[in-house]
Amino acid sequence: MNRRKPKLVIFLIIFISLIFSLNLLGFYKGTRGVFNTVFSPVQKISWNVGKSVSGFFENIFYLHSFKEENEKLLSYNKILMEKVSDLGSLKKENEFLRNSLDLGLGDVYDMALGSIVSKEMFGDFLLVKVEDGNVSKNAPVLTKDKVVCGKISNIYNNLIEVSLLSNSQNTFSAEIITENERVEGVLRGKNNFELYVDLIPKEKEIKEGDIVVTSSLGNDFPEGLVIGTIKEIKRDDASPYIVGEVNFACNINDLENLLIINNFR
Amino acid sequence: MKKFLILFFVLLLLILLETGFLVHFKVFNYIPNLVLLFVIGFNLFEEKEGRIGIVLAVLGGLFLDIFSNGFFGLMTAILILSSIIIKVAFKDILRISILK
Repeated sequence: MNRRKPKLVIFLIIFISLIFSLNLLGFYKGTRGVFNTVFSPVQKISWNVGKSVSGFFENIFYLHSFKEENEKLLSYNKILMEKVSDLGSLKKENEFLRNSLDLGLGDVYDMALGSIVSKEMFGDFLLVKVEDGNVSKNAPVLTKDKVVCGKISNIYNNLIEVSLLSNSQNTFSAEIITENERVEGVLRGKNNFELYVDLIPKEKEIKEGDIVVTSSLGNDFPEGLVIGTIKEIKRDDASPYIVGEVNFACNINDLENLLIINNFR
Repeated sequence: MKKFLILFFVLLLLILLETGFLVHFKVFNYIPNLVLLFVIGFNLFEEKEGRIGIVLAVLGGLFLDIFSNGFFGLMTAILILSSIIIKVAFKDILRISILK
């Protein structure tokens, strides 16, 4: 047996122990910040090229399913038209209130703009470069269509780390808008851009396509912002609750910029 | 040294591809871990006495730790352990019992 081997193994053990101990000193945060700042321009290019190329191939690969999808969307459009007419009176009231108070989301909150640089290796975290304005930890992050994506988990100079709602470490309260009522539930991330609403009482009538929005409970996000739609309902006879798998509306393939609400709370 | 520098830039390129370009090409919502595949592949094909595989595992692990949010050093430890296991198991046990 090679005599150098035990030495190498001992050296590696010491090396790993040293790296592990650096966690206690918080050394890693600075290192990550430096690397992410240095490589963010290249990562940004890599992100944009990937987005363009995937968009091109998506058009080719999904050409056959366009007809089927179009039919689905047309039928869904009818359902939405009905809902829009129901919401007409609420819209008028809302517009009146906004006009009288001269408010928009951007007026109520201090918004900062950020552009996506990359996704982190593990877990659903995005690195976002803040274009203007100061941001604070735990600030909600939205798309320009006011779809909630997540919240800020770390700040490195002009880069921020956004923990997406689909991150497995995240749990938030959410509401499902059904035909008759709003049902409270607990939104949990599963990683890989998947999430579900848990703890929905069994007697509640929710169905696929119902819209999931943020709730005022927990005070994590402004109320009523879209998270996604219910894509599958899972029932277990032994459990008093049902689980709704959510189609996350924050599709990072379509995104380049994000909005950050600074002064929420 | 030249070899080391080339491998350093290859790993860097793989990381940058994985965190940017490949995010848009998810397979069943998963993104392949190119660095892990590269390190394991390199160790599988490297000679038993070779040290570059281990160095690659250290570098690759550090890159994975830097560009992720987890416990710093965990991926480094996993990759080093994997390359040692590959070197011992695949080169001693498997080659003797199966390949020879």
